[in-house]
Amino acid sequence: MFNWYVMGTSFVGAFVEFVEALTIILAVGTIRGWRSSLLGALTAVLILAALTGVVGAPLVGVIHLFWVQLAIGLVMLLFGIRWLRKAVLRYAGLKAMHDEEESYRKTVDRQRRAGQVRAGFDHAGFTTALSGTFLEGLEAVFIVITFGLAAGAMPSAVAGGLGALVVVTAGGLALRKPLAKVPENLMKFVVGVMLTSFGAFWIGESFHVAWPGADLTIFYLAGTLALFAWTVAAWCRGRLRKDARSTGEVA
Amino acid sequence: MRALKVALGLVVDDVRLVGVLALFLLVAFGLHEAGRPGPAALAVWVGLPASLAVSVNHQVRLKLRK
Repeated sequence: MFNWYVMGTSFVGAFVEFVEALTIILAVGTIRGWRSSLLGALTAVLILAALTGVVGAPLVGVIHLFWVQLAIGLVMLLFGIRWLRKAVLRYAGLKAMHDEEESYRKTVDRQRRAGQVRAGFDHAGFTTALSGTFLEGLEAVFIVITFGLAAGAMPSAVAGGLGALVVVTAGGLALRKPLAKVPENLMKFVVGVMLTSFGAFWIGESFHVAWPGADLTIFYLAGTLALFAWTVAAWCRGRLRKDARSTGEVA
Repeated sequence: MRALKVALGLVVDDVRLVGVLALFLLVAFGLHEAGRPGPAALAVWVGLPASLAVSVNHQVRLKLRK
């Protein structure tokens, strides 16, 4: 018999995880290119589908979430904080606004001429989208399996999980175009903040730290970090201007 | 080999950033092991702005020295 309560609970649990995965896919796609981002996400889905298909329900006991959270959290944190640092340096006037894009294009052109890469593929974007989607997807699979086994209603739990996947995918398709209108440097700043917050959150989860507010932690981590990074950028800009003025006076 | 180069690139890009971050994460792990999960969360949280501040401040000093 179909269990609507299990389906609803599974839907909400999986929905939260899928939204987090979607955030990463959209962010990476907007600033590093859709091809590498979507390929990363698709690869993660295929790995998850293969794992779930081969291992089945015992997956919950086979994979230790601690190691996955720690490894992916570290990758996400390193990528994220590096991007955030560059964005802060750009806003502070310590780094040219577009020099990274130019050097990236030059590198890709050079590699393309040498036949080393296919056009438009970005390894950093691919890795970030793959690891983020894999971890969030794995958590969604765990939620569905746990609810399904606990209530003895696996088809209802799977239906809830799949429903969440469909709704979040539709939301992602709708958000793709409006996101492309956000200024590029602002987008990089926001993505740096988001990836850093996700990475820090997962590393904390792997240590079993006591985050006040559970999954809501990501919001206050991101909020305080964005505020701090923006303040630091403004302070640096002011300090450099002051120095330029005093140097000009001496000269 | 390529993955190793990327990882190495991340680390040498700004040793201060990664160093301070690693220090706070180690402190967080130590606090967790000592049975203090609340302060451990705080250590992870504070580590983010602290590492960013140290790194950006270093870049400003380099620029001002020129």
